[in-house]
Amino acid sequence: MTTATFFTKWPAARGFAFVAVLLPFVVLSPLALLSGYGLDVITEIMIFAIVAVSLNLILGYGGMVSFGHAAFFGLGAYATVLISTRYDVSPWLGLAGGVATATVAAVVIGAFCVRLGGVGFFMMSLAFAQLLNSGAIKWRPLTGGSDGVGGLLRPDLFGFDLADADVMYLFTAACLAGALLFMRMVIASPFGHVLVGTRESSLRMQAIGYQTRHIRLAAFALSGAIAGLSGGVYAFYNGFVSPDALSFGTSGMILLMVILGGKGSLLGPVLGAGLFLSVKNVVSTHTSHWLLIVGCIFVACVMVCPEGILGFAKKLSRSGERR
Amino acid sequence: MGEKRSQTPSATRRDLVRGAGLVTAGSLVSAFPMPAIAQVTKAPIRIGCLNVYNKAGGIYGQAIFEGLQLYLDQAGGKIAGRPVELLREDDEFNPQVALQKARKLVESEKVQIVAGPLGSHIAAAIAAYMKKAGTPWIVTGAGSTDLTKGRLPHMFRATLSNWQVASTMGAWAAANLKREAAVIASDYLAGHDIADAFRDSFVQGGGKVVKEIFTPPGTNDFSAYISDLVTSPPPMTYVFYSGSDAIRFVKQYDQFGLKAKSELVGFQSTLDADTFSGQGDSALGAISSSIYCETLDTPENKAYVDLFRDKKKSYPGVFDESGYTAMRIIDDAVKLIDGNVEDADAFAAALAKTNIKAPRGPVSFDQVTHQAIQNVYIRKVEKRDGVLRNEPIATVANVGDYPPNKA
Amino acid sequence: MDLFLTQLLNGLVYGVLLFLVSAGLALIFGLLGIVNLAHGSFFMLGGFVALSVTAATGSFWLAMLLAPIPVMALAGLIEVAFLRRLYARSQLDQVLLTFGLSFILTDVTETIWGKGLSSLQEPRGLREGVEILGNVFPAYRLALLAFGFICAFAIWLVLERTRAGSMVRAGVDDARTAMGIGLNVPALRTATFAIGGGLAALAGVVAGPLLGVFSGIDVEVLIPAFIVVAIGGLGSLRGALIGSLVIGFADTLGKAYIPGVSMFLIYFAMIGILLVRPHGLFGQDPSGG
Repeated sequence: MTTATFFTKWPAARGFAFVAVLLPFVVLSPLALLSGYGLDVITEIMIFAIVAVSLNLILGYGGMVSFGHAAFFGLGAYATVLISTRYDVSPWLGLAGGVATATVAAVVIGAFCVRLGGVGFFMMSLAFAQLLNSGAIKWRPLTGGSDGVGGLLRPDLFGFDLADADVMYLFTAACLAGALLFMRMVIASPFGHVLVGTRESSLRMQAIGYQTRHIRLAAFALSGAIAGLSGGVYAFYNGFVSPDALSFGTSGMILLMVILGGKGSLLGPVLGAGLFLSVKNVVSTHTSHWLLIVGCIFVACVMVCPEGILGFAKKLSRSGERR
Repeated sequence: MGEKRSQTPSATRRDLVRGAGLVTAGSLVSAFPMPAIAQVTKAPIRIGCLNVYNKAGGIYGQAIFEGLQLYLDQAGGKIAGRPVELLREDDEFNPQVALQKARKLVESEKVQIVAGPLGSHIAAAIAAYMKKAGTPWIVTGAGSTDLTKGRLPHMFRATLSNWQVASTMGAWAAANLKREAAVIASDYLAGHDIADAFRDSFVQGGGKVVKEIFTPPGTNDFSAYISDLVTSPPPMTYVFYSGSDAIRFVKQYDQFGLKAKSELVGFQSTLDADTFSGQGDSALGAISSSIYCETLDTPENKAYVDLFRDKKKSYPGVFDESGYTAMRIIDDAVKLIDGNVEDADAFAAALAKTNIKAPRGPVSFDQVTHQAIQNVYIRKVEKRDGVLRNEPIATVANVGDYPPNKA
Repeated sequence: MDLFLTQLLNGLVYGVLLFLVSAGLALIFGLLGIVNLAHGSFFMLGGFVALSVTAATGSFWLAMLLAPIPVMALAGLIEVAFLRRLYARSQLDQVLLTFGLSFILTDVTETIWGKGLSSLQEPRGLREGVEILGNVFPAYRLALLAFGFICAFAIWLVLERTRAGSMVRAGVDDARTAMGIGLNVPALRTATFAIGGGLAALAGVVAGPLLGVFSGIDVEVLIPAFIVVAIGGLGSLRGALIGSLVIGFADTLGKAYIPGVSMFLIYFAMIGILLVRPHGLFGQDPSGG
């Protein structure tokens, strides 16, 4: 059975049962197969998968093209590190602070952005991310400037030390699973339907009586919160954070992951993050031309499968069935 | 699973248990088999070259890599009878990426030596990990004064420290050039590191800093700052920029006529062989300090420059030489321990004994901080046969590490 | 000369430089609706081609004339091969495509010309400074100032006062009707994209003596160009000019008088203007879509 038919032949309910059976194997097999570094790579992929999932909420379901999503990812990471190290509290409080900071920032920045549609939104989100990036470079006493800020030690979780690659991996997997479940709940909820409605036709939703701006803002805030979580986990993972976490390049990379995997589908961004980072990881060792290869992936993705790999797979299998 | 070296942090107790328990799984992973016994003598020495190779900074990472390669080619691709493999990993100048790549080199690629990086922020980001991993680490570019303060037992900085180069200039300038200076530098940590080092020794030598300006990295247009200086020109301007900023600043400094009014003095990266093609005659006559000067009149340097110019038309810059000499240092130390580079402690001890005549002059290591002790040259940009190049006008011999780092 | 007046002049020159950089971006967006993230790459390529031309001929003027041509051809090719199939799709697809192309072009540029840092030499006669009220001001910058305004006028003239311009505008306003009256809309689009790319390349040449020519400059100019275009009003050429001047002044005066926050100033300006005028100073509300 090809992956293409896999995703379509199983209706949602059966698919989920299947996933429930499959999941333990998917989660545990890397533990068995890989050692320290290999697990680290997968852990990093999952961290970016979380932020890609969060962007997918506003991009795929809300139709808001953000070129500044790294802002919330980076803020979450910065707040996690700074709170844990400067106030000498548990990194868990730091992580909570990271999520809270990213959420508050998302509400504030979102309030500016959701007023605008299309390219205006794109520009506004970019401007805020650049502003924060400049701030992180400039405000050296707090952020350590271009060096970034470190000194975060991974904490314990129920007696298991996250400094252990296995524990970190499982923790990150749990966060990703949580993010996916949460996202599924949101999408399936009336709120999710209204959000998709605003993507399809803002005017129509307004006519029915919805405050589209509030709905978009709520989605933006949720998305920022999850991005903040992934940033915080990224801070755990590295023990430090630098302005690159908030940069234009990081925003672009997150965007690519979503598009590559397939926007507007639950698992698309996860697939995108995995594929992008794996390809980059393998390719960058063997050639210095990885920019070329990444560029070609972009172009091929847009030209051949604009709905992402998942979308492409669905289309393939649909045409296969028709035949 | 073959033999696991004790210094890899991945080799935990549970790994061994796992390795024993899951034979089939294990065989899946070891896609490239590790010859277990033959390796001790003839297996390749793998050196991980962690650096930035693309976009901004890529020119320097590339120079370091080509320097390593140049020496290796000259040595026939072998050290102490063992072939050498250079593995490039692009850190993208992003500390988060760099940490990941450092892990990859040490744990997945199983390199015996890491050479790099260029960025001080990169070096800071991987330092804790490299300390834990214990893999010998030759720093080939990052100059931050603080880096050697950590005294990593297996880290050796085979290139400049910012303090070495900038504070030497401060003292020399106060004694030999002007007593008043403006300082203008890039507003990131290296810029402040260098400005502080220059200011401290300049003031100590009786000089006075009349103005300090820090500009955002990647500034397109320096006219606002330069116009500010032009209105009451200081007798001398000390400058730290690198890469595109160095090109733009030096050109615009000249275009606004400031060069005629205020002596241009800079850090090595501001006025180096690789910036001249962009700066053109605007750089002419400017003075800088560096651990290397391409026109040094020594047999070692002449041989090196000839070798370099066989491959390229231009003169070597400080990072070309840094890469070349780093490999020379590795070569000597590996020979001293008969190629047994797997023994990290013995290798580090051999590195500490380094005492060579490199193209840049004599190089040895501080026994406490592992900073290279070397000459600092005061250089002036001259034009010979239509080619811009630095020529030495003074030598400050055997400059060591920042004293508080040793205390 | 009074320092403040000098700084105003600096701001004006920088603003004009930004206009040259962003004009092609505004044109392409205004006429084709494409957010072209490869704009910086066209700029960079222009500089590199000019570098080769000056190395071969020694003439800056020749480089100015010749360098945009291969870049225009490349841009035209990109439009035909890729963008043509994307007009019906969302803007996001065009953003991603051009973002990917910018990666490819960076790699290609580094492969051809290397990673080294270069710059273009000002043409003879513009290398010296001109004395203005007691201080030296670079002649090249004054020439750039004049050239920028000439370009702005020329583009306006072509678009508003020529047959070709009205054809392009007709094709943009209502493609179906335009085709109905016999206009070759696809060819018009290709030409427009090529000209936008050519303008970027031209900017890369004239900015060469000031900003240098090297890999990485593409991103360095892309972000300011975007800010300018966002402030001025996406797609409005007049907006791009005003936006450039606003940013030129804000950035220069910020550096001179409030250096601590100068890094943030342009972003604050962008956010502020977008808040008050979501479509930029001169942008048209694309109403509903």
